Amino acid sequence: MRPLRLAAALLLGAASLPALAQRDDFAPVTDEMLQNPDPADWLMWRRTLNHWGYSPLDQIDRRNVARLRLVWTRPLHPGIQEGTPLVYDGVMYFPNPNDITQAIDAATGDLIWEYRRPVQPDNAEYIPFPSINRNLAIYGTYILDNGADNFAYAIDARTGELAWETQILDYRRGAQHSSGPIVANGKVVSGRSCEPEGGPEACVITAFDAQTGRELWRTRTIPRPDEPGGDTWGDIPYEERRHVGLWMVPSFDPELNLIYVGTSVTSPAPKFMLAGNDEQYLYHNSTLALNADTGEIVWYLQHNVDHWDLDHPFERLLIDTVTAPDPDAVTWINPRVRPGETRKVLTGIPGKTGIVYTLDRATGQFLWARPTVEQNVIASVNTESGAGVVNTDKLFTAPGQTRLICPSLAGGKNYHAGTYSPLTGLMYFPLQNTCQESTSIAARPSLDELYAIRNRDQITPGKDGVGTIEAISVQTGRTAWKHEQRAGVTSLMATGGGLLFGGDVNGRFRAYDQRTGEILWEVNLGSQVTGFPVTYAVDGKQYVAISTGGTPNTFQLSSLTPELRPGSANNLYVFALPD
Amino acid sequence: MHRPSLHRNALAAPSVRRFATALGAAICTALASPASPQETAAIPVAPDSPAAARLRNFEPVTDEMLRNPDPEDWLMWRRTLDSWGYSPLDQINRRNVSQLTLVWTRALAPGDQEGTPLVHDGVMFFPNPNDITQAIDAATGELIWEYRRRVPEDVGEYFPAAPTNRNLAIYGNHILDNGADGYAYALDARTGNLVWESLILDYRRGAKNSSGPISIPGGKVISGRSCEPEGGPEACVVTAFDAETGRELWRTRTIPKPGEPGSETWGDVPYEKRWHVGMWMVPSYDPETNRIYVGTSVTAPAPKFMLGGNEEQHLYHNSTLALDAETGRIVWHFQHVVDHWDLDHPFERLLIETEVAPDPDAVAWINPRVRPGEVRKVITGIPGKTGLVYTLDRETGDFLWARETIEQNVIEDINVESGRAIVNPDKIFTAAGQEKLICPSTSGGKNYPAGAYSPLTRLMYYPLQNTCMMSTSAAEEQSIEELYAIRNRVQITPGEENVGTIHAISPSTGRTAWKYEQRAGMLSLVATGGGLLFGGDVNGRFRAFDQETGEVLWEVNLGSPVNGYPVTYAVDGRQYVAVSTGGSGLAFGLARLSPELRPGTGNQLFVFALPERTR
Repeated sequence: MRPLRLAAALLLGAASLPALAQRDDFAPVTDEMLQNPDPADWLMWRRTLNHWGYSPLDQIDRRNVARLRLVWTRPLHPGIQEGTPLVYDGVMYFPNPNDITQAIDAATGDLIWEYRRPVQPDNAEYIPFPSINRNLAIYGTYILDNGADNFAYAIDARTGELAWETQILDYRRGAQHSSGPIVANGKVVSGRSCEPEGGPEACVITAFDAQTGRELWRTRTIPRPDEPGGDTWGDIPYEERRHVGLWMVPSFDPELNLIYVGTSVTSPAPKFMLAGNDEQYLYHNSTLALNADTGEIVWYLQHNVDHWDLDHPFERLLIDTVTAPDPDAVTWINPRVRPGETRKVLTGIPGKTGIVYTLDRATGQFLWARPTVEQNVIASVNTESGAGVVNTDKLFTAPGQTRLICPSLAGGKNYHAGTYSPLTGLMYFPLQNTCQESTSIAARPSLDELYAIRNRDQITPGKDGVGTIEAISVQTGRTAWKHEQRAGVTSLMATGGGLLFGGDVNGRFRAYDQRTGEILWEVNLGSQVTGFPVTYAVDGKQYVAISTGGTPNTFQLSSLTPELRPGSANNLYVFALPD
Repeated sequence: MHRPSLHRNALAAPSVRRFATALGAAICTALASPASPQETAAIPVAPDSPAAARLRNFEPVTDEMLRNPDPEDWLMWRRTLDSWGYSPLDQINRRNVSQLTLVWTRALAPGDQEGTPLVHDGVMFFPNPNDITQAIDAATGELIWEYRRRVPEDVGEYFPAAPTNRNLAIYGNHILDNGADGYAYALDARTGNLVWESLILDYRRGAKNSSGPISIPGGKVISGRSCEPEGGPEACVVTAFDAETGRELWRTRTIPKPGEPGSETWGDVPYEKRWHVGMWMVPSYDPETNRIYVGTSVTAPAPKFMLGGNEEQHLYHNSTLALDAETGRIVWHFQHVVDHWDLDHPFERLLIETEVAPDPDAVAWINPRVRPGEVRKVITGIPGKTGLVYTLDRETGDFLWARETIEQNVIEDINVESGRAIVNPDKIFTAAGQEKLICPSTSGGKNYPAGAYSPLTRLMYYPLQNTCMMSTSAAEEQSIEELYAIRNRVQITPGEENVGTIHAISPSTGRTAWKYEQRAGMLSLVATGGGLLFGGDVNGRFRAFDQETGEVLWEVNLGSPVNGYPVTYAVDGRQYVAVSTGGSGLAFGLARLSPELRPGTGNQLFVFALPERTR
């Protein structure tokens, strides 16, 4: 932890404006609130620690959603914009790009305060996308985030003043914080991606005390040779084991006291350049379950050995459900699954391949898996262990080999979040039909060739459209409905009104019927819908918020539909029913 | 004169462009090749898209359409040549406006943003800052084409706020605009390709085209401009070009040469030191009299003791000019005030036929020759920053009546026979270093945010600001560096808490029907056949008011100053309301007067309509 002496000095550089509507009745946010949030609030990335992205609010419903109207909008600061609003007690906290945080009156859109963290001018030399600021967390009276300068920090939610900051890593050692934290029993937990320069020590998930900023633990995703899993890297020296990042937001089960988080590919991606195609390189492309008190890895499941930058860091949905995978819909079922049994599962689409995996979340036992969008890298899944068996035709064995890989590194799945509705028992995922012609371009690892593959993107052969929303039963694995369209689709949110809200890279933001996928409302927001939709209520009125912008992923998807020409402005929009 | 555009040709090489070869006979032949791709980024439209179908059905805009526009269209800055800013569309009305919902929005290019959409046959044409023009499917918001003019990089050295691109005109198949580079130009409305361009003035001689033209029946494209002092009197011109060919038809100076009528009003100031009588807003046009009506700005410097003396008139500054549209000849002029404080009078002139019955309780200055109740063709509205309403006979320029709106302290009296203003002697500078409280400030009062007239209520509506300024005369002598030669500190009018007001005033009686006041400064208005008045403010609020009462019936927060001009149009029977946000010197200046309000500054276009099911 850095002494507050420095924090005060930094505050001078932060343009914190006087509060417009200072609330003196601010009730500190408790673990109880986070674990059972008021329906009116949206207190973390996916609203709840189980990552459902679901709000029980039902004032806006299938019957009246066609009347949804814009209430307010605000331009956001420039940079790569993938923000998620938090809403607590009528105040919205928005993570603008480049570590600018705003508190906004959630009913009117009026700015209350703004915190601007000083940006290191040379930051972009070390990190590819330092401006991304996907989400905040809230605890006590603090808004919590990670900075591009590699500090964890807390801002007073009432004033926008810096409360504490703790250095995680030197930003020149390449750990990128595109995502912010969640709070698990008073601990601020977050992962990060780790550029190769940072070596294995940059690939960590960390926990800080939300009140003081004191570091509680950090856990590496890359074992030392003498640690468990250390032998899965063959003869690669420890300092050359690189880039197993955790760049999305963990989920948390307070009952099991387990944090769930997913990891990325290694650098380079083709494994013939590391210690060979037969090694596992733990814990890349895995689901990790960590003890929230200690950070210890309690169990892991590696989804596949990844030669193509098909990361597996996305949201893990925690659901208690009857498990009855339908063999007609689900390709890979563990023979030990007893159909009809209710289990605590971890499910969803954790990686770019688009494959749904359902695991027992207490033990990590594999239950079932099935593909969604076309993929050609996983030949099969071992139904006992859940390990992916890679399609040997898609392996690289030397530089200069070209392979058609589906999906592309854009996904399939990417940072755009899916959602689960307890009303329908369905989970909904935004997916893309993409492939890439990948060429291996180097024989040996180097810092200059991050993944050591060159890709040319295309729409999946045989498909006309990029975007797909797939509604899948968590119980049976069956697809209930599918929405397909030309433009790539982005994050989703389900509500108690039976609605599914989601956007696309052509600026459309829509409300779908959760049961059928029918479009019940649509607006053209003019720019790629890149932020995460949320819903909240103030004084009994329900609002839906969404933001636009441009991101490397959405530009990549957009380039597949060149006849569609959306803008790329960073804006926040809030809708409600007419009074 | 249609002049060879050498520097542009050099930029566009190797594409061959047509140029007039001789005076008068400037017959333009077809383009040898389309404009170079560096200039226009016209992207092909998918042939099966609704946008492509709209373009196939695009009908050339005729004289008759300009005189009597389809209610579904919005073909010029204030929709009609009389500058009413009124549309008869009534699907959105007082009863249902609270249901109004966002249908589409689009990011606009960066720069000072005060744009007005044009809409014809379901296609919207939008003037983005920095001479970027977009054609957009008006129902869906899909981009059809985009034209990006290559603006010289050093343009900002020659005039302030160069990106401003307030409005376009349309005639035949052409979208018409003025460039920051000093050119008038036409784009093919169907493709976005450049069709013609004619040099008006070298941009390094400081004529700024913040406003585009109006196109008038007969195919003339008329526009004024402001003129920085470097350009001298020759830059201060209103011009007419042939809409089809780009041939220059006439240009009229606002500053007379020695030997011309009015020249004597400059005293001993040599011709080349008569500066900056600009016409930076959009003219109106009366087809019956075939006259253009346009207003002018202050001189540079503003204090007249530095410029031939405080007793001189300095024609035609701060005047209403009536020009013969055929020749550009000044038929009559009316000077509103000799201006020592940069209180320009270039704003929209409303052309109305009305009973003239000014109420002496409401109207301070009435010409005794007015016969109350007589129906006359008048030119009315608030032409200048002072906020005074002036009603003139539009055939003769005779003064009929005038009254104040917001507080002003520069005009002490008006001669009710001639209409000549008597300036408050306390507010006249006589030497450098004098400080005076001037109301309103250079922000206005009135400024470019436009008023509107509704024939339903027979009221005109004006966005006005309560501002004053402490002005200090800053020099003894005229110089290019000291443009106005006054230094100002702007403040809210003493005794007022609110900056923004809307005044609803009868053009017949001059009475105020209602007044709306609020903290944030108010921006442009539009009136509709649904009994609504739409208007925004510098704090991002865009509202629908009841024309009869001023009651707020609908409101949305657009997050940034609502700096563009609202319009309404219809496509396939559905009525839309469009408005845009962004920043400008004026919007930021007004926002500083209410520092607790902190809007953003995003350039964005918004389009609203009723939900499909409740129409």
